[in-house]
Amino acid sequence: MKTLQCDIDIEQTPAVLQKVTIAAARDRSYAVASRNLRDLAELTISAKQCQRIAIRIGNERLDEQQQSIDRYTAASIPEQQHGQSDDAPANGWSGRAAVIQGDGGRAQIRDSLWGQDKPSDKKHRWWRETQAGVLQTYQSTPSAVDPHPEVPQCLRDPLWIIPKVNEIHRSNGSPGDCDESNHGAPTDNSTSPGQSPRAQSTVEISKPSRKDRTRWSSGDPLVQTIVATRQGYDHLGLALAAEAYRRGFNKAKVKAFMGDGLKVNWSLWATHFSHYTPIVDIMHALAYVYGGAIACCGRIEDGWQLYVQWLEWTWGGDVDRVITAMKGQAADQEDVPEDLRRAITYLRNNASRMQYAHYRREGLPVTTSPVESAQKQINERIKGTEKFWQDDSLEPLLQLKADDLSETHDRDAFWNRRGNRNDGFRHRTRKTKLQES
Amino acid sequence: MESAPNRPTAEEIAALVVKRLVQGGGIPDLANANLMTIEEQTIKEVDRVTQIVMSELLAQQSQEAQPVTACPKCGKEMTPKKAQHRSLQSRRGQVKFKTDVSHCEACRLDFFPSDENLAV
Repeated sequence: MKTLQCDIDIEQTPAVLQKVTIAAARDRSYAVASRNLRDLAELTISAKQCQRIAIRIGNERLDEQQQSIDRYTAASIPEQQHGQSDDAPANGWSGRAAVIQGDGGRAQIRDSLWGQDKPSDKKHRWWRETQAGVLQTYQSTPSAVDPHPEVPQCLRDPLWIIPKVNEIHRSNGSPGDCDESNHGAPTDNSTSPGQSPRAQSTVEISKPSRKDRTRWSSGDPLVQTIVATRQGYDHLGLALAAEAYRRGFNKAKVKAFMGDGLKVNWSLWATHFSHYTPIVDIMHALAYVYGGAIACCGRIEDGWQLYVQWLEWTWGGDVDRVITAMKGQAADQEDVPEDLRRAITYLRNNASRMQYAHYRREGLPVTTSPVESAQKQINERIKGTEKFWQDDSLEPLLQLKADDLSETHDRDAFWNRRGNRNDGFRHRTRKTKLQES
Repeated sequence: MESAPNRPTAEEIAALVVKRLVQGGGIPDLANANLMTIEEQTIKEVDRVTQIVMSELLAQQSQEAQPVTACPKCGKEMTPKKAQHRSLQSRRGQVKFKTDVSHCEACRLDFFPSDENLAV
């Protein structure tokens, strides 16, 4: 028996619910979504209603994601590593690469101390980690020789590279076990990688040429799927693996798993994607190379040439040579600078995943820009000093945001499935005495 | 536009809307009305028509539906209840309609059926 396919307990038609969920995911807040719906779609929906609808629909999408994970985990291990789901796209993988990238973000989460008086002894921090991943296909043309052996000019341009490096150092101030944590601002201005390059008159600044705007590696990006969660890296790994299985990534001849130096990324790789080529994002690697070079010499003017030399070797994938040079610099110094020590550790731990010339020949990317970009767009929605989330309201919203950013999420198909799931019964949601107690 | 006998064309329906707008007070001074006013009033009037059309369709669907006798969940006999008035916010405003309700004693749930061909 078919029904109207609209919820008995909701006062909006499915078409309106669809608009509300899009606005709730896309706009900065539920209040902005409510205003935009009124002004742009002529729909009067309060911010609270937007929130309730978004959480409800987001939870339904989370249920679907869980079903997808269950289907993946129910498959045999060979099937998980080499098979694909029955509804995987029927396209071939010739000339295309499959790439999975992971990254972490931040959001303020209410915990048990929420609403209580501030502890007098120490400041309570609400920032907690969120996780995001991208499944991206690229056009890929493997070649016998490195298609881009020369270092891009922008990486030699202090005006371009230093702000990027500083941003990476700032965003890596996460707690945890990673090699790249706790990179706060250096205390001594003379050795600060954050020092304005404009002040360094002796550092040669060259303008990037038009030719330099070509891609550093791989071909054009094709189709993107975003996964975002607050449930930890284990869940992220499963969600990414299930999505890769659904999209048939296992059938790609050229495939890679990419991340920064965070150890948990490589645990994910080992658990779910060990048959993918592991690649460390070159920008993160260069942030350490730059920090080490400047720390060696104490000043940007003196360390810049060292950075440029090490940059050439890193770009060519000759990381062992960089490590040897760094160790040589460290041996010459009585007190090894912290940034140099960290750089040596980082490069040593990740050297096997930094063969950039080889990756370029394979037609693979060397930067994690898609996931960094996705994280930035997710942050626009969830991150703010005024935003404090509860986990059970953040997770559905993250799912809706990821859906909105994904090119593979078929919105119409979801609303059809949702309509078909509606059984026409009014289900009572009253709590039982047991639940209440 | 061709039309079947007894079926008004879109142009004929539009002509009625125009008549309502001009003569019914929506746009009393057409000669001096600006585009903003014409657009606002037209959409308002057409939205009203859309709401009525949707309500009519839902009422018709309800009448054409076969009465539900067995519960889709447990298969036991259902008892018809008094039809309920519902109001839904659609993209073009509030839509009001009546819907049949059946009650399953075994499941202790109300069921809201409709004709399968006109699912919203």
